[in-house]
Amino acid sequence: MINKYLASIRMGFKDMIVYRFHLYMSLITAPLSLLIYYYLWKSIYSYAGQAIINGFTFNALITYYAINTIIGWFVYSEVDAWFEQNIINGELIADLLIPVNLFSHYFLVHRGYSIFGLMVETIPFLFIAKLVFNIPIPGFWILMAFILALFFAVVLEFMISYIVGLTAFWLKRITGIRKARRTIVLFLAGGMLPLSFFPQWFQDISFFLPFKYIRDAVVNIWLGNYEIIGMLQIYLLQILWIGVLGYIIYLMWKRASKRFSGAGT
Amino acid sequence: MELSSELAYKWNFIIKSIALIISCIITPIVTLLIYNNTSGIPGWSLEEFILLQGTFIFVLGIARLFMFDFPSKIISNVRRGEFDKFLLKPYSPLLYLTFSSIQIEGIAELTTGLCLIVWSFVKLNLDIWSFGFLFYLMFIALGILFLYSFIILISSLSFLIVNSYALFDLFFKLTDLSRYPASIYGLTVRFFVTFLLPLAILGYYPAEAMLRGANLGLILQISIPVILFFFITLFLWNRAMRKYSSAGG
Repeated sequence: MINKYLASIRMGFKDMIVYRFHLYMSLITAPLSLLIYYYLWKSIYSYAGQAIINGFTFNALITYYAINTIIGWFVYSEVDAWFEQNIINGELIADLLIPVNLFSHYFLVHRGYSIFGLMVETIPFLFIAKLVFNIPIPGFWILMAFILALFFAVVLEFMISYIVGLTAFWLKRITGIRKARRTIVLFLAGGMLPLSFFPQWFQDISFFLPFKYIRDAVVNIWLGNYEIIGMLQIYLLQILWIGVLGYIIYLMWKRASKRFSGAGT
Repeated sequence: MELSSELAYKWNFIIKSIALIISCIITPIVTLLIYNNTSGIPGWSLEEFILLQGTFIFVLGIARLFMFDFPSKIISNVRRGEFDKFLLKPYSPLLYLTFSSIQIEGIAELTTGLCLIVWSFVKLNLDIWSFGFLFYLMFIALGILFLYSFIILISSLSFLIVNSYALFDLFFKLTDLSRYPASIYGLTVRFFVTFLLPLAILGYYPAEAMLRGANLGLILQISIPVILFFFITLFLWNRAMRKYSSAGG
């Protein structure tokens, strides 16, 4: 029973072994990005003459970018590209015959990626970040709270990308929406700049949108910026959005599969 | 030909262009947010910094439009063993590939970059009938030459390395160094982006020349590494070509 799920994870893991060169490369590119942010913000902080800007000390901001990189590796999802390819090539049928349902299968293959990435990217990168940039590692309980929020974030981003993938049933080629999804979600989630740098009205809106709970809120848990109540609120909103997106996927899938089998006969 | 295959999926093309414009606009929005919350980067006002970023996006747009398709074309052809068809053409494979590769998405970046440049020119009241502007154009041309050399380098390496797509990632990450004024970096990195791998030519030096003028010493100091880099990559390309044809025989 559990074996067939493990098979999906193993499949993703093996995929990554093939692409491992890309992952090794990110051990050069990720610290390089962090180095650029380090210089950029060092000059900005010293020019501003403030120790704290929008609630961030210099060190906290660099940590923000470092943890963001790690979250980026975990939430990474290419399920939308799979839908596009499989629908155009007609190979979706093969994936539908797998004894695991399609959503779980695709999700678990991605978790195979995550497990491989954890060993090859995340842990070495954390070491570099700790040694070179003095990134603080939180205590056990905060770390656990972070991992839980990260898990929900992974599901959220996966669902958004799954919805984008499903549009391929109607639009066929979706390279454009896929690219837009990546940049827009990254930006709205606070992947380029913490949301506290955004105007107040924007922060108010983000509270009700799913994006904040993919990156900004999760990093702030790592930084210890939330009390218990604040964390519970984040989990609640994450679960709420998982429910909403799940329902959207359910509705879209119902229509799409009707359309797909209709084309098959 | 590539344009027509893009247009076969009309909606995808339209959405893709919008997506690219959005991702281009996000960069200046982030800049604006930074400048709204802090005093900005030392020595660079918002308008000046936007000029730097606009120039960078513009140069990258030109490169994407005319060059970025070129390495992937080589990689896929080498993998399928079809590269030999380029060697049979009556002109040099480098020139043929250069002029036959177009990625139409580049137009979005090019336009965004141009808008940012024009905006900052108007805001800063810059004079285009000046030596500064002449040097600005010259540095942009050098920047394009530099990106072209880089493309040749990646393409040459793709004959030797199987995982050459990973080099693309590294290349894009390296160009991130040119998004900000070279003056913010420490001495080592600054030396690196000026002389060893002249990435600063993509935004910092053109903007610097436009805003604060340039003298002959500076021009020489900047153009020599770029031109040298071009000849080195050309040499590597020729080596790679020789190696490839001998492997085929």
